[in-house]
Amino acid sequence: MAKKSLISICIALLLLGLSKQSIADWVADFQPPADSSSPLKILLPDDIDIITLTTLGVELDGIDITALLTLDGNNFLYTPVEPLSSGQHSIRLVVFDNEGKTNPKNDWSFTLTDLDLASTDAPEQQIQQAEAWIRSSSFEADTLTEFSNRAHQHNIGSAPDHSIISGAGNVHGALQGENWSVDAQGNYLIQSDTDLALTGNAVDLGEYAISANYSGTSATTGVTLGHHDIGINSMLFSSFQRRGVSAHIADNNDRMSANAFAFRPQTQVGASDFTGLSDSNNRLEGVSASIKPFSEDQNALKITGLYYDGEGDTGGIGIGGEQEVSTGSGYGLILEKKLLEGKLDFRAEYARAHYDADGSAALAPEDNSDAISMLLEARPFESLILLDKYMDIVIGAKYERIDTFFESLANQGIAADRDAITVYSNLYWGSFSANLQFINETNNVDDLTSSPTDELQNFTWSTNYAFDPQTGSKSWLGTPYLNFSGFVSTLQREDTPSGYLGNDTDNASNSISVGGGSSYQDWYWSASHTYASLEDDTNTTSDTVSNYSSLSAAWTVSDRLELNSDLQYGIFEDQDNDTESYSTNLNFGLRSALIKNKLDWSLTYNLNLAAGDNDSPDKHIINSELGWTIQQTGKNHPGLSLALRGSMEKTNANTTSTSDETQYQVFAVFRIMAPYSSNY
Amino acid sequence: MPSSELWRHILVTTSIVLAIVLATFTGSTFASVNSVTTSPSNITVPAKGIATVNVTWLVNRTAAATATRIVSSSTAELQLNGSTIATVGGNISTSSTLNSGQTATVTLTETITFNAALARRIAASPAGSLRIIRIFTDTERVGTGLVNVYTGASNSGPLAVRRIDLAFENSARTDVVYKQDVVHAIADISFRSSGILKGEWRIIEPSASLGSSGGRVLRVIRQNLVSSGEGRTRIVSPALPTLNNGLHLVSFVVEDATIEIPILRYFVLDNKEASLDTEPSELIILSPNDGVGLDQNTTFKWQNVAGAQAYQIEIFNKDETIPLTGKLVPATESKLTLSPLSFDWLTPGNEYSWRIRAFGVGGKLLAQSKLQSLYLP
Repeated sequence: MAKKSLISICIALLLLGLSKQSIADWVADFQPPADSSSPLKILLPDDIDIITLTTLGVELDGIDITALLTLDGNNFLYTPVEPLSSGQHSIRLVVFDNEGKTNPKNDWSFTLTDLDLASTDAPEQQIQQAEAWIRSSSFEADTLTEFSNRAHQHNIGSAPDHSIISGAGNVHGALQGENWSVDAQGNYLIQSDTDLALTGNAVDLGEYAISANYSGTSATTGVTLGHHDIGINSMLFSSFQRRGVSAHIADNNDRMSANAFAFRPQTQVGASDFTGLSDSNNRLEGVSASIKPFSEDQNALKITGLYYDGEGDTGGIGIGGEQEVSTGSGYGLILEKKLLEGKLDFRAEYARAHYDADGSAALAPEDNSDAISMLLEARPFESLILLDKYMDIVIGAKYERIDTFFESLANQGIAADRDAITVYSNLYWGSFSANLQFINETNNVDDLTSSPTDELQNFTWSTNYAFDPQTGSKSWLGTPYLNFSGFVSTLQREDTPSGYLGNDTDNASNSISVGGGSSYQDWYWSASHTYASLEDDTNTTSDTVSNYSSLSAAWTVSDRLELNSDLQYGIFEDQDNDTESYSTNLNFGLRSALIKNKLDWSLTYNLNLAAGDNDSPDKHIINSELGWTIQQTGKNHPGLSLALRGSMEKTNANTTSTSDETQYQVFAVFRIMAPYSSNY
Repeated sequence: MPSSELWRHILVTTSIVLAIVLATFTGSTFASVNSVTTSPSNITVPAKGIATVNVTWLVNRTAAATATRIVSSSTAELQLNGSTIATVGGNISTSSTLNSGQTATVTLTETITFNAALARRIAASPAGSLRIIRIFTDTERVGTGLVNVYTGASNSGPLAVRRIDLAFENSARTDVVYKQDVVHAIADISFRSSGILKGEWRIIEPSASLGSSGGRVLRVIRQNLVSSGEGRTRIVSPALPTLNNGLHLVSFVVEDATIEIPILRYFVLDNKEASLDTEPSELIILSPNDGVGLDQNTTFKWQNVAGAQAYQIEIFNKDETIPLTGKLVPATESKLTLSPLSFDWLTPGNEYSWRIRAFGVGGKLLAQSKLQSLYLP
């Protein structure tokens, strides 16, 4: 045994001696890359040994690239992760000694010219062909088309076509001149089974916007066509993104601006009414103008006037609920001013609305109603530091009075019939935030003699705290956060007209939510619980108590496997009818790159359980897709893939088997992805 | 009053009188509708907008002989200030089997919708109320029931969802997104009165959207809504699935609501990083802290970036934009320590700035961290 050990030591010393000899003697050479994205090669001697290879390090422009070197025979090969820029580059090859210090072995440099840059850059010829007044332009189009065949099915009723072509795409183009720009973007959907299509057409436009802007020496102006919002948030206009056209002009000091617009009140997709203005009975037109009469200073008084007049359907894509063809017009005035060197914001608004809910049907009367609001918001402290942490406090008060029948075609769904005073405070201190709000409001703003008046008092709070990443013995806590929110409200009768025999009002409701979670290097979790109750002393509605808890987590197991899951469990108690119902919803998702960039698998499992007095059949739903990438998508390089996907839905009633059913369907899919982009 | 309405009014009044007379003089000798009551006895609807009310008619009858009778009412009349202004509801009926001399109550329930114009007429009337009248017959005798409808403020009655405006966060209602985009839908809900909202976010994924479309529940919502008159609230969906290509449909379903369920469509394209130019996102640094003193054990950690092929730390002389040194590692790594190669470039006592960048396929810059500082002691 001792003899064998001695021989081993001798061989090791011999190898070590040989390797040290080789470090001193061998010579490396360098082969520069052909262009900015091609591999560069460090040519090492054919007889270099593996031990020597492990002592080498390579730098490109000062960046240690050793970890991304590959061996091409005995040579080091490096393919730039990021295309190299034009100009001179340096390569350094070093040998690490036993103490980890670097000993220079070779230095090389090489130069890439613009012609060496990868073909992704615009050809010189294209630039020359561009009009001189175009400084830059870009175009992007990305589309995906699927050929899907429902290869197998079970218990699927009157299903759509077995073979379907579906797809979608985004298109974006931009042109930029010295003082002008044009930007256009849109999307479209393809669906060969027109019963499933967006508008009933196999290929149709979704939403789009085209805007052109010009910046002059004293003013800017522009026109926008398509889906957009004129950016005014008021009682007459709010969240009003519709299809139409608008034009604006503003002086460069932002002292005066004006906007004229025309929109379709109904939400609209498809190419059939491209401008949104083809139907004069479904159109809203108006103007807005702002002026700072005394100064261009940002704190100066700003006055904004609004006017609109229109008629149209208040429904459309994404809208559910009261939908009528209504007529309406309105005007408003907004005053904005910053006081005390910007520490106090003042805003006042008056709006007058004329609205006929059923338009030409003439059954409902036209209402003429008013709305006013006033806001004072103070940020009293500037750069306040408390216990080494930055603190910001916002305190505000708002008064709103919106008539009972106030409506606006451009603010559909406004909460009217409110005479409300709100006070609020927002506190931000380091990673802690707290938002508090108290509101007192009454209804029957129009003083209808036959209607009672009720008063609501509501206190709402929301607090959040995010901890720093925990270290040492507390590192298992990750980066935790906590939140606590809720509200307490009472609604009571304030005034009852004589002889009134309708319902009384006396109820209290509250809600409390606590939650938290933490994130780690590869996973996170979160949990919350919400308790809510409603107690109606008039028995107009049942007293209810609900308790809902949720837990969710996601884990990136590796670069090939991701898992996520969330669970929600709730108990809903109807105390008047002495009933309890329970609901459980479980989601589990898995995403895996079985073969990286080739074979992907995704799976979701969903469980819906409803039990108790509101029992309904349990549902287990599985969705899955196995995708094989035939050709990877790249810039201006179409991709192809095949997929097998399907779903299974199992319905299982607890008390009766008549509802028990298992449905499944399997689709074979061939997919073409065709992205294109260019810049010059 | 139009003559037809006058005749109808006379007919109803005559029927009521006849029913009372017959009931009075026939006693229990024959089959009889003894009484018709309602639940609730009074109804309050808001003076503004559309209201839907449920009325339960309780018809009490006594049988003269053992038999099965159909108890029915052909229509409901709405009377305002004593005049019939509309007929609603249509025929409702149920069967009643009783033994001779037996008395029992049968229940008939209907839903009546008041449009905005009608609600306003009630509010404007001197009495401020309207009567719903139904005449029930068991084929032998008739009985009349009525319920009073009052208009109140907008919070009258239980919670009523009057409108759901569903859109994605970018305000679009039809969207084409990319794999792993973070997409949320927002339900802007307008409501009247107060109560608990029972809703569900539902999703139909590509594995079902071209076949059956039952969909699955993404999240159950139980939320107390309060208002003195009308209220408005926004409910944000959980992150919508964007893992698979294809057509997705998302909806917010309100339990017990009579309004149409709004549905949005979104289509998921392939990874944008793989195909088009995009702005890099922010790469999150987990360690070290800003301003750290660097040594050979200092470990740089970051949050993984989807689609990354490699990460590169870059160290700059202060206020310079070309890296002085750095290190490139494959995306299988999510932390690194600097090698002696990098320390060769650094001078003790100097302060440097640094960042980490993530590269995707084709060298596309996917994400980069904010610049932070370090110094070499």
